[in-house]
Amino acid sequence: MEREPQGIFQFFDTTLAEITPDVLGLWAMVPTPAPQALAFGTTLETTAQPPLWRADLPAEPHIAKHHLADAETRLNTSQKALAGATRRLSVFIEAQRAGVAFGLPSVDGTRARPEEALAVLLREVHEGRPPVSFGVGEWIGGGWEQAAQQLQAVLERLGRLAAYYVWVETRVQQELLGQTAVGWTGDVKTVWRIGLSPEEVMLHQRTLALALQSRDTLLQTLVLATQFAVKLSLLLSMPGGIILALPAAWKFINQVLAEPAQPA
Amino acid sequence: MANGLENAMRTAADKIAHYVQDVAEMKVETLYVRVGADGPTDFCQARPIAQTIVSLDGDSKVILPLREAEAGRFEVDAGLFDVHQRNVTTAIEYRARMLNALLSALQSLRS
Repeated sequence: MEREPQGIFQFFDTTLAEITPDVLGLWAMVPTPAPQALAFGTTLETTAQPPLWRADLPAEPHIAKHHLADAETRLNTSQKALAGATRRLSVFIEAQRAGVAFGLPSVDGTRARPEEALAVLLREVHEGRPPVSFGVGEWIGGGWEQAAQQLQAVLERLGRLAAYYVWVETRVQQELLGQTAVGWTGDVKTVWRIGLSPEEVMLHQRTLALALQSRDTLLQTLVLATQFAVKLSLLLSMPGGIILALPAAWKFINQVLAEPAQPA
Repeated sequence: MANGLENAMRTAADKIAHYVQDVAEMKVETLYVRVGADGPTDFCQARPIAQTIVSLDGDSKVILPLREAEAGRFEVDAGLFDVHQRNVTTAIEYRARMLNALLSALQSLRS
């Protein structure tokens, strides 16, 4: 019986695990530090336990390749969804400017849930006015506060990631094939088990590419959230608008990413 | 919460700025380990195959995997070097993407 992709692709990280069960619907979060026994000597020194991206593939080569191909497709879908989120936000903002403030736009004739949630969150911010411009968590509803907490954890994580590096490893039925340490600057150190077949080498190289692109997509998501917040703050027209809009933008993007992929 | 969020943004931006200023060189190393028939792989005993250092000013240094051939000559282990070169390509592409993303993040976080 085939395992679910999240049983194969795992992300060991103590911080992000507190706020999300998976990364991009692909990497299952494991809320423990990467196992110490995996570490090999490296010049990529760090003072903290780095996150670990691990693929534990089945022994049958064609099934292992199938899982990797499926994961690559899922990641590609997430990257396309980010582009889609940009278009949908533009439609949303245009609708707000054209009509009643924070009404619900229609996408392709149907009411889209991320837009609906975004409208609700922005209304929370807007109707909470004018008490204060900061420290608003106390009077704004739970949706905003929850999104803000998630975003703050991701931002703090981002700061730490900028200083450290990550591990990527590939296993076949729990047996280690290759392990790579990657720094933010692109420093790469890979240890291979000697005697691997070209197919086995390729399994780790695809896992490495998958992990790095996932990390890249995670960062792009954050960048996009801040760009969206700038745009949404113009709708809010209130002090601290960007900070107030940021959690709503973050939640909007994540809801778009969580939507089922539309057929091409 | 909004204050915490603003502080988190500022801290992340400062760290990213520090990082972006610090990327002058990229090093790619490839190593190998032998696997014993009766024990787990000890990755701490990894031995080098090849190393490539790429500098932002365009300089690069490559340490090649060679093996001794006939008549005392040396030849490149093409298979291992190919594996290393793929890692170098991955690293170069990754660094370009990450730098681009980090600069965008920095711009956004400081907007």
